[in-house]
Amino acid sequence: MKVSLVDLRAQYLTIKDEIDAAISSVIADSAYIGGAHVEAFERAWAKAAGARHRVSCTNGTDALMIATCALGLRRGDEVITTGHTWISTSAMITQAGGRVVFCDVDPMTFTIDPAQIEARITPRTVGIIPIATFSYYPGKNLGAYGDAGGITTNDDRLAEGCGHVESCGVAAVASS
Amino acid sequence: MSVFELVLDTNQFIGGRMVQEFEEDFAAFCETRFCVGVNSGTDALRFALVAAGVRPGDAVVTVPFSFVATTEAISQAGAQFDFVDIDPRTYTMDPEKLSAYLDGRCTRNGQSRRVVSKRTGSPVTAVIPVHLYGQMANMDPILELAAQYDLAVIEDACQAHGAEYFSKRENRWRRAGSIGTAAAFSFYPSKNLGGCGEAGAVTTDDEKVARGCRLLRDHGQSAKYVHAIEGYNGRLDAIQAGVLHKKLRHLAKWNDQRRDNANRYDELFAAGNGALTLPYVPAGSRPVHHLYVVGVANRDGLRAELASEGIETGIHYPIPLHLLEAYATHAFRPGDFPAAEHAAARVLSLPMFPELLPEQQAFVTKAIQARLASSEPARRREQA
Repeated sequence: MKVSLVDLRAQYLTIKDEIDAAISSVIADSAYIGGAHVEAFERAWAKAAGARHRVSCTNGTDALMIATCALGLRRGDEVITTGHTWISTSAMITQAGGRVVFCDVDPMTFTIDPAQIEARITPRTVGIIPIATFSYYPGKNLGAYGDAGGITTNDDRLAEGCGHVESCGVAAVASS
Repeated sequence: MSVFELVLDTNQFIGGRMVQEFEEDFAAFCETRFCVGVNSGTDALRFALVAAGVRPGDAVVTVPFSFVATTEAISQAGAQFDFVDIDPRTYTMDPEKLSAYLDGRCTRNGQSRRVVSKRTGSPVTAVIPVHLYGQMANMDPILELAAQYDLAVIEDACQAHGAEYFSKRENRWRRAGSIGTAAAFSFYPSKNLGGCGEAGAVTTDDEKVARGCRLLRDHGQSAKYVHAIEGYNGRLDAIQAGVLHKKLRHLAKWNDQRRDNANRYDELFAAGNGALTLPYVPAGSRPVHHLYVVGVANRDGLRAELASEGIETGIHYPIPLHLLEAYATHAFRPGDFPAAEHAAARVLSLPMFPELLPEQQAFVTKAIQARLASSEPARRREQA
């Protein structure tokens, strides 16, 4: 018997009509980048995540990058995160100009150990990433049929900053 | 089977067979050895720069008359940008300005062929000519200067899928994307070859550059979870590759239709007055007319009047890069690049796509000529 690690086709078949209709309507509207379909999804996702603002973007890596840039990270600023994650988490801190400070995980939950964070805070620490941006990589719990990602926040200024970074500074973020 | 069914069938949503097949055929279309599909034209530029050897602290010279992605990619590669002005007729890099920059706005760096930018203090390691509106830059003298000063040449071919340039050095026609060290293409939906979302590609003949771009687009992974370097998430989705592959078969025909439409505009406008600057196509250039751009003095007024008649137009681009707010800290001033500034104040992109109808073009030209004729006495008075 063949058992896949993840079977994305099995899920698709249970919601085929909805997905096919969604794709057809994007193509019929020629609304390929941003637009009403993206706004409707952002609104629904912010509601589901219980946040006031949402900025969707190309992928989870960019979501991290955009959120870190919008925080106003300066060269040499430190960001604490865990070493038990995908490379995007640390890569985006470096690419936003910051320095990665690793903190170990709780061996039971595999997530960042809050008890160990304090010892790593220095005057240069500007943030902690306990993994809260979203990737909609196909294999994720909420997965697209290609790369996609998003940021949610309750901070008005951060949401505005994310909107600028995401669209080459041309657009701002819609608020609920 | 539809593209979407094919993707589901392979269960490879990102990268995979459909991406490879598209890459092979797009490389063949561009007459290059390699094509690396990525997430956008911006990523293509960034990856091409880094893979071609641009390092943090280097300087890269380009034109100030382009979309902001050109300079964003340079900054994101960790480099500084410098500008040289455009040729006012073609809106692409003026090779004489490039020569003057390398000679006068840079200093020699010891025995090396490389020069150092006086403005940034950084060694100049690459040049990005932008093939704007579907027409290639004047590449022969740019390539000669690049060889002389040891610069990588990254073509910004984001608007030039299939454009051609007659290289006198080689005595043959060369396709956009095949003449530099590497080139960046965008497949933004409105491009001559457009996806149904974000997409882009790097083309190159250099195997090392291609390998570098493949690493950079996928988090620096040489094998699953083995990260040789830090990279980015810049992969091409299979669904985009599938759509692009289907559309690629039609691209030559679509480019011909754009050429026909450009010729028709040229003829329709030929009878008009001299207030309009038509696109200039030098000998040895075969553009693919991504945009049909005219120059006109009262551009914004004309644009509003056309909009009131239902005619959509665009401005590519209203603010030259050196005067963008984002670059205020660089202390550029109005007057630094007069040809780019003059163009930014005058350019107007008219409706242009393969399926544009002759009667639509006649309507557009008539509307423009009527407006120009009615403003002609005012123009004469201004000149008097």
